Amino acid sequence: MGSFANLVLFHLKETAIRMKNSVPTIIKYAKVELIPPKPSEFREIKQGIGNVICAYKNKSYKNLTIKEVWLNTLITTEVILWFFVGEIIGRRNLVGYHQKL
Amino acid sequence: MDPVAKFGEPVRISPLIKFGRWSALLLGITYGSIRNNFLQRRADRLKSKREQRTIQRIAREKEERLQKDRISLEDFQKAINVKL
Repeated sequence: MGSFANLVLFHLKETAIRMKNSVPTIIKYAKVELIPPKPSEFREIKQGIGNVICAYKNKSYKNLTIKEVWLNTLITTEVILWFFVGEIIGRRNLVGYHQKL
Repeated sequence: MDPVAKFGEPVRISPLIKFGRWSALLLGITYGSIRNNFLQRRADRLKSKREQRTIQRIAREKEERLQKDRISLEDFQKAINVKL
């Protein structure tokens, strides 16, 4: 039991050290890549939505390469998964809806 | 190790993707909390109904027991022909 406790302690320490090193990196990248869109970017957002609708209307999405389509699929999946992360936050429970009785 | 050497400079994400992510997140939070509230209210309602039913059942069983006792007492009185 003593050796098991030592093992757990060792891994906790290692994880803490790794976290301490990686948190500044995560913050550095998140500050650029994960921040919400700024109001100054709304024109671009509008343009982007317009582009998507336009591509749908004149069927120009058929001219995309497989690689581009694959990338778009991945990005769409990611955006959809953000919805589920939001759902988890909204229901305040990780797995399923839980009712207090 | 320098993260920039390992991962490169932070990429500029298209504003459309960022907008999509954050609106999906907010939509999810709203949906999750609304649905949670709905289910919680339903659970509360069902619970109070269940409790009421239990109370009624206990009262009914008590009444039935009293009734049975009364009947058996009357039978006994008839059998021994004495009014207790």
